[in-house]
Amino acid sequence: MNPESKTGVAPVYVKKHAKGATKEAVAGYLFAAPAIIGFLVLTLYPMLASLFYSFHKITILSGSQVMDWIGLDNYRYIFNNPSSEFKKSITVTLIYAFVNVALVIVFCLIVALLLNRKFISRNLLRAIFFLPSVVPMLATTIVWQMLLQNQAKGGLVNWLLLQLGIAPVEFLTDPIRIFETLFIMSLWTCGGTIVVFIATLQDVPGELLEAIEMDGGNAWHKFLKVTYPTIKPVLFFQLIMCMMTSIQIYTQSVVLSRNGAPDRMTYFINVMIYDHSFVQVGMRGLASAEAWIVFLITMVITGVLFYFQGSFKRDDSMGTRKRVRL
Amino acid sequence: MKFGKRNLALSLALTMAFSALAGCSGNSNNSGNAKNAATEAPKASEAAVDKKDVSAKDITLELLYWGDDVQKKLVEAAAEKYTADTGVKINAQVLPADGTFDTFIQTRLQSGELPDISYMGEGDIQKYNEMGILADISDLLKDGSIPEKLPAITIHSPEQKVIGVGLSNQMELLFYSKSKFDEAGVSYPPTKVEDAWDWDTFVANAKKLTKDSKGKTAADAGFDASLTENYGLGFTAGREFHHFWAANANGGGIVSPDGKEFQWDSPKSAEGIQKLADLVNKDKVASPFTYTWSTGIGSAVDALSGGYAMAISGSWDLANIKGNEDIGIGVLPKMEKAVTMNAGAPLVVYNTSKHIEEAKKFYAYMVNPENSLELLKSGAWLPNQADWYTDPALVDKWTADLPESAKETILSYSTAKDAIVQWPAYYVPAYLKMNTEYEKSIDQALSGKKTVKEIYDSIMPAIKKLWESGKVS
Repeated sequence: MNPESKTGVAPVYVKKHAKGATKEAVAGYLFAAPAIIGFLVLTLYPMLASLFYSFHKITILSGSQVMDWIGLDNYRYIFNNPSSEFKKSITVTLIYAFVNVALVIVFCLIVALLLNRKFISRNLLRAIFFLPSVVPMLATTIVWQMLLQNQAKGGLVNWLLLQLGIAPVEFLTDPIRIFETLFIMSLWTCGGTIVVFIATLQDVPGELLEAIEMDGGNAWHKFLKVTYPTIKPVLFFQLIMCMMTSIQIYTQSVVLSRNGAPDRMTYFINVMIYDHSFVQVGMRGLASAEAWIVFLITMVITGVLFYFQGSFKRDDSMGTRKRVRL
Repeated sequence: MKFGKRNLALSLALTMAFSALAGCSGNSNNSGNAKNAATEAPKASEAAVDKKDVSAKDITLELLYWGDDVQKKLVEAAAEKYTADTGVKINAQVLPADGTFDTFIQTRLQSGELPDISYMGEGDIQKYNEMGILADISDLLKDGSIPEKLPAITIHSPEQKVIGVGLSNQMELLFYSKSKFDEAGVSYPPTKVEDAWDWDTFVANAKKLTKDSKGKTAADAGFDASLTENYGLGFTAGREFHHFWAANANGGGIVSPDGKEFQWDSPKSAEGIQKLADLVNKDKVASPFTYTWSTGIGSAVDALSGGYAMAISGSWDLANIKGNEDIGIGVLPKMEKAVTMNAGAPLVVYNTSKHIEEAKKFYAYMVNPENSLELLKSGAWLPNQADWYTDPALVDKWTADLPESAKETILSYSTAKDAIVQWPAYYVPAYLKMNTEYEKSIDQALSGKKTVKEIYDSIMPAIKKLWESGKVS
């Protein structure tokens, strides 16, 4: 029955509806309040404060923080002063980040594709690949350090090499080898990404894969024409996330080396910012400026990735065909 | 049901929002900023005057320190005894002995909640002095509340105020494995400063102790350094502290003890560090320096039970060798001189303390070696008072459980003239920044990529400029 036709209460109903909508909106905002407040207090405010700090030289005198306005001097120091290590630090960080992202994404995708096939003990293998990602990075790094360090210090890998008459390898002290170690550790702990890929692969339409098979297509054709278009959005998300975490590398450097050794090759950007902010004196303003430049660089990288996001969009024709079939 | 879903949702949302607000706001008593710290100092003196009649039972002092379980027990016991004796309550808070301690202090400084007393890293004391938060404790030494301490661990500000006293007198020592020496037929390192091996003897012995996986020593023809299984020597060179002794031993130095002469860039200093680098890259008797530079070699016990015959490490490692008959201690080798370098974290009083007089009294109690006797006996600490090295009755108090070689070595260093060099971190205000510049580049020389002289030529002008500034920041 249509109430409007009989009683003419339509306006009341609309009003009630509007009132209800407001109430719901209020409830929604209240529910979201913890997150919003958290963002404002714990993210936005510190960001703006650090931007403000970046134009100051901050020292502590007689127990109180003294901030002297120095304009763009911190930024000038970063780019023009030969003592600044920003360029080397950001370079090694970005090299690590780009190579690491490529390795992690390709490795995880291959492992996920393999673990998505049906075979005995598949679940056991999935668990094995996932388990290392549960271990905190600190513990993982210590274990790898113990494995790869000098044989005289008890490094197992080098000891085994020595027993085989092979010269031990300076995994942790050679400027290039240390990167190999970091990549190995990164692959060791990427079980979370593998799990996400496996979950996404469940979404790949099986009938399309069968169709390609019937048309004489091979595994590569199946991946290229069906699997890849389906998982593209997740791939893009993982790419962004992996890039972010790679740029933020910190623990591995602090545990494996000191002072960014060897040859400052592990003096990653977050290590440097922490060092300037909390270890050195009078460099907190500089650290803020460095953090902002890193933020802008990360934004640019993300922007470029988003620019290419089009090629990561899920192919709609998949869904269309699926819907038609249904 | 009258209390509908919507109201329930609203109530829940409100609860969540308020709890978030509560979480963000923290304890209002704790909030504040660095300005609080600035205003605390005058408040402290006012408090001292206003509350003279306040009974000791109403006073609680906060002590912040680092340490393991053993140290925690000892500090807590000392604090309890102090409370029993004086009525002043001690809130002793322990933190891990790592870089987080300094960060924690800085956080407390920012929130205006500094403790009354705390341990402090040797390299940080001049930093906090320049920030103006450390109390002058000269009066405690003048009035005899604190008996005269070893000059090497009495820390002065640039204005010559005493701002801290080291709780312990740590020093670099040569640890060795007796069984590895016996096997190689090498006599044990001497325990008297005057008998220290000269550099060539030291290198020759280290070669005899370095063995490849085919059993050949570095002194033998056909030795393959790439297959070294046991090294003659390992360094704990995680910090510059662990190799600065060589600059002094070679007749150079870092900064003269009076702080007036910059010696770091002298050819002798560079040559001393080069000799250490040569042990790795030329003589092949030590594991790659960057290894030890990066990660340290662990405790001397681990090193000597692993692939090292000798290890240069701090005296704090004595605590780990208890009951290990295989490990002996000797003096470091001689270059031009036989010297070691000392360290020892100081205890400081903050001038922001609301009970500064009581804090100073507690300070005097804590730096008394009698109150850290268990740590002294374990070898983890060495006494900070000169008479504890010369008075036989006092010497017996802390050396009974130490290996004889350790006792002889420590007493020899402590009584020989000019055999202990003070770590410049104690008295050079710009030391932190100078060292940062040094550490940026020195591993290139220690790994053999460049010579120490080449590195010094490129970095010393900047380091000297920092020293000339005479400021931490």
